[in-house]
Amino acid sequence: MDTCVKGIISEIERYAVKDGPGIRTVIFLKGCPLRCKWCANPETQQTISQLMYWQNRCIGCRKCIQICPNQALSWGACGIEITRSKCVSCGACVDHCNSQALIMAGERKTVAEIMKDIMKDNPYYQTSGGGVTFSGGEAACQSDFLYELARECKKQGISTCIETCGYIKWEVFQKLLPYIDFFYYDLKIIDEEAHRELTGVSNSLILDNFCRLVNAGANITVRIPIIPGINNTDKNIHNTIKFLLEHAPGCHVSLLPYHRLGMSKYEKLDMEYSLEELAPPSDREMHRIRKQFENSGFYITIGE
Amino acid sequence: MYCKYRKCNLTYKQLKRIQDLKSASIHAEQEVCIERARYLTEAYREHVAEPTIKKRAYAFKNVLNKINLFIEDGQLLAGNHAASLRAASIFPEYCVNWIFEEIDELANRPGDRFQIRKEVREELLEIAAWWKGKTLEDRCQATLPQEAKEAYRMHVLSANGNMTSGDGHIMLDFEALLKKGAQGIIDEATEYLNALDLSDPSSHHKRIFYESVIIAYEGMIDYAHRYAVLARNMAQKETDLSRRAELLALAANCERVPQYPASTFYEGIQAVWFAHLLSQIESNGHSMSFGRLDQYLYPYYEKDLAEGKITQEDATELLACLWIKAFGVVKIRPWSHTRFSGGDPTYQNLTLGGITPSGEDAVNDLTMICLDSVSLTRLTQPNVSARFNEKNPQEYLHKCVEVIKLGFGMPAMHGDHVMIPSLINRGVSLEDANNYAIVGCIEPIIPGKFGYRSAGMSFTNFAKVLEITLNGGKDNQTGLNLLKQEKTLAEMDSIEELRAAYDRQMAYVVKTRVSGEHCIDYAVEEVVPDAFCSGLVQDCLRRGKNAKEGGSVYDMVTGPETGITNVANSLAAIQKIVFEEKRITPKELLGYLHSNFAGEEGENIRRMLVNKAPKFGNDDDYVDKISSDIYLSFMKEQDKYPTTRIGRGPIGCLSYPCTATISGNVPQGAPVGATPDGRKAGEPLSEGCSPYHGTDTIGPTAVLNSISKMPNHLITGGNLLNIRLSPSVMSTDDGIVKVMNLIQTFFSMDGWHVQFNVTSTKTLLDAKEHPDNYKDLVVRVAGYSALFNDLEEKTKDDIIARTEHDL
Repeated sequence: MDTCVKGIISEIERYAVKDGPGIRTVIFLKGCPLRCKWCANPETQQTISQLMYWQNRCIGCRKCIQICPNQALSWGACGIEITRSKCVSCGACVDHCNSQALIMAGERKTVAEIMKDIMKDNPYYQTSGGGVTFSGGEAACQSDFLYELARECKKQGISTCIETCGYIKWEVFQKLLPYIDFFYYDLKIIDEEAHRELTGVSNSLILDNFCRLVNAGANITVRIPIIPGINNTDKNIHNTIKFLLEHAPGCHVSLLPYHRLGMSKYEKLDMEYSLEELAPPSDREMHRIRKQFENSGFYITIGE
Repeated sequence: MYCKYRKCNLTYKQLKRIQDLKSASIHAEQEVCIERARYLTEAYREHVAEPTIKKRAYAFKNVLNKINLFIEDGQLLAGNHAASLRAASIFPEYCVNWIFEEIDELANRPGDRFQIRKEVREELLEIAAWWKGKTLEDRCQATLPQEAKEAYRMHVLSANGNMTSGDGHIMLDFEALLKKGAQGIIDEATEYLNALDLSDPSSHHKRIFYESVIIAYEGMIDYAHRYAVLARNMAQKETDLSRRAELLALAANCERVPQYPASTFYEGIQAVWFAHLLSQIESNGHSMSFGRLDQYLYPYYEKDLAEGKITQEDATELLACLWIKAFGVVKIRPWSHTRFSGGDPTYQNLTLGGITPSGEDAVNDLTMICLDSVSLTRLTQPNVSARFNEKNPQEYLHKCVEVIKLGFGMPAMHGDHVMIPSLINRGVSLEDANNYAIVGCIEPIIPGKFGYRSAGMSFTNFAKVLEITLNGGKDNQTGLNLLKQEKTLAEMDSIEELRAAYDRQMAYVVKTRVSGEHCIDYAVEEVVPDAFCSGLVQDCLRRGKNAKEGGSVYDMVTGPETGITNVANSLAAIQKIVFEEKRITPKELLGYLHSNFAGEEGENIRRMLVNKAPKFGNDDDYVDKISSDIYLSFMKEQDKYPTTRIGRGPIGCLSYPCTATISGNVPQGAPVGATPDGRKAGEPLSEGCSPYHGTDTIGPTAVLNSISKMPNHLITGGNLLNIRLSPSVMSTDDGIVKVMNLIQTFFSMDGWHVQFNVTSTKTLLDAKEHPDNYKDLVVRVAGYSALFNDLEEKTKDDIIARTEHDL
């Protein structure tokens, strides 16, 4: 077992109570093959470290501009401007920014280092039946690292859960199966064309992997983000129910109402957010969808 | 072990009674009541030649014989603190100087306002003039050593409340009263008195003590009988038949208790209320606590229930009546003291759950009923403490979290796992330690066996000590010197050197604190000894001594400490930023502190201190270890000094630490300049060991882990932790279970205490904006709950600033 393997993670969130059973620690691994328009964690999409700028924290001392070895920073109308093509994510500016206006999303850490953080809340996992949840990004993107991390968790008797988009070579899942207790598996849109348009990839691998995981006896919770006007159409709900009735009747389906909490991160990364005008679904809408699934015999939860 | 408890189902009439009583009490305007001061002074003048304790017993009896009585509409219990609802009595024997200075400001001060009628104002000034020079405060001021006075002036220590009010912080032996009655106590005192050999010189003081106890308890019986007469008179005039029956029942109770042993649950509650109330009429010390009411009243409930005399709902209603009574006890304090305890708190603690003295699960039907009753009243009193023991059923913990979810800050959770061994380590017997209950905020004591002021000794301001150390032993604000010290931070070369200097200053502060406390303790003993309270503290009667002279079984005291986290964070910042990373020099840092981080560069440096060094509460060993270390060295000093009762009877006579700060962290921050943790001059300090506002960013488990690394077993006075949770976290049953898991895990890791503020920031901001819409909004301040509107604006801001953990 190699605990020196390094992975790149954007965050470790402790006392997560809506990402699997019990009290959990969520490890956000960077890198994702999908580009969902509603993504709430845009800083996790790429497998490299990325500089983020919080204008409201900046006091305008401009020390970072002097410090940057690559002249990637300048002062503009909205405070610091990052010339992304010049930034190599060396972190020199972050170290000198006392206000935490410049933050590096993404840190390379070894399995051993992350285990140290994970173990800190072990007593809470044991009392609550919790553990670790691998999220992202797509946690399985860094497959070797995830494999070592999951194995190490199981060695320490810690329960593991993965939140996955499913767009991963089957062999990766195959290898992970003995070390992952819970799969939280996204089924975003059943129509292949629509899926390609809104996430950037086809869903055939996703649906295929889903069936294989079911057949392998994995403990699966299906997660459906409810994005108003995008996948809450009668057609998609109907198709999803049809697919699940065929392959996993009666399974646990968790409906996640779309939220805008990640929106402000786009700006900090100099990225565009295309759903700016979109409002979260109403409680009534969530209830309507819930009913449709329940009528087909599924166990439904909302928001966890 | 509870068995018959089921979901509470009160009738409309019962709910309405509780609602009406609560509403009447909340909306009654607070005013000054002169009667206690009048009748007390009258008796002092009449019995001027008597020894102080006996003079006070006469005064106590005179007040009880003459104070105006009233029974609130619909109330099922008798006994009020003053002559009208939510009026505040005056206790001139403790201090009067503030009256001359503040009498015309009482209605206008920033918090805890009181109206005063013109004729009351005049009489009060007249009474105060008679007391001038004779009070506890006067005695303290006349006898305090210079070092202590200077330390108070520098705000390194604060003892204002200790010199201007009674000791409080006690739990009477309610069980003894229920079993013996006041008559039993009189009989016992009489027996001891008759057995004295007056030729023995030690008998003299004992005789006076016994005579005083008898006078005080006669006063108690008279008081109840006066209520019986009043209730019968009211019944005669009452046209509503059911209310008439209630008044007659109330009269029958008052004829029987507290004079004789209680025979029913209803009588039991009435007797407990009389004793609890009278102890607060005798003295104005706060934190007079109910103790383990779910234990000592349970046999009466069980019996009544079996005999069909009472239902679960009746008991719930009676308890609600009791809590509304407790809320009616209003204290008026000088502004100097009010600032330290904002929101007019009386800290009447109620302890639930835990284990029995013999170590069995103590949760019973009454425990659950108490939780139901406080959910109904949702007032600031009583201050509810729930003990958690591994032996307690999950349903109990579940119920506690359900009540926490209601958002009035209660119950505070306490861990048997660390408290019991901690008490045993201090010399308390196993049986007694198992029987501990909470007094005031978070301080565990043994019911009926601890003496006065088991907690609430003088405040120690850790941050001020550090500030003075950084400045070479000098306080820049007053120009006074603490301990002579050669170097300021500017000349120091290592963190070790700074730590050593800080420890020396702290050792001096502890010693000075004790010197001052001895002075105050002797002043209390000589000027305001209490016979009534001593009659219900073991072993005062057997020894023939009052509680302050060493009459109690145990004598262990503790004082609040503020700013520990500021000191730990400051030392971590100096160690890392100045000495390890050398980002700035010691001299530069001192300069920035003196300028209060002025200018853009100053602000930049302040942010560096905040963001580039570890902060307590994030489960980071670097700073957590420092916090633990400074606390251990403080304790080591404190261990050296006994109390004034040493060698006079009690076990212990020692002091230990306590991190409860009430709201003292706000005024104690005012005189402290900028600190190296990035806190600006004058800003509030940390509440006890809680992380400093806004610096705990990793979530509740990290906070709890940091706290659990403290030397909790040695913090026998209690280690206070506030965490605010967003109400959404407990919206589902799964969320409730996860909070239960959080609490259980914390306690298994030697966590001491945790309390939750479950009010959203939005609500608080709105409450600040529109106080009229939030008249009953209760928030957890620090170790107690207060009406939000009663808090000073600054304290309100402080509450809002607490990091909100959205789970």
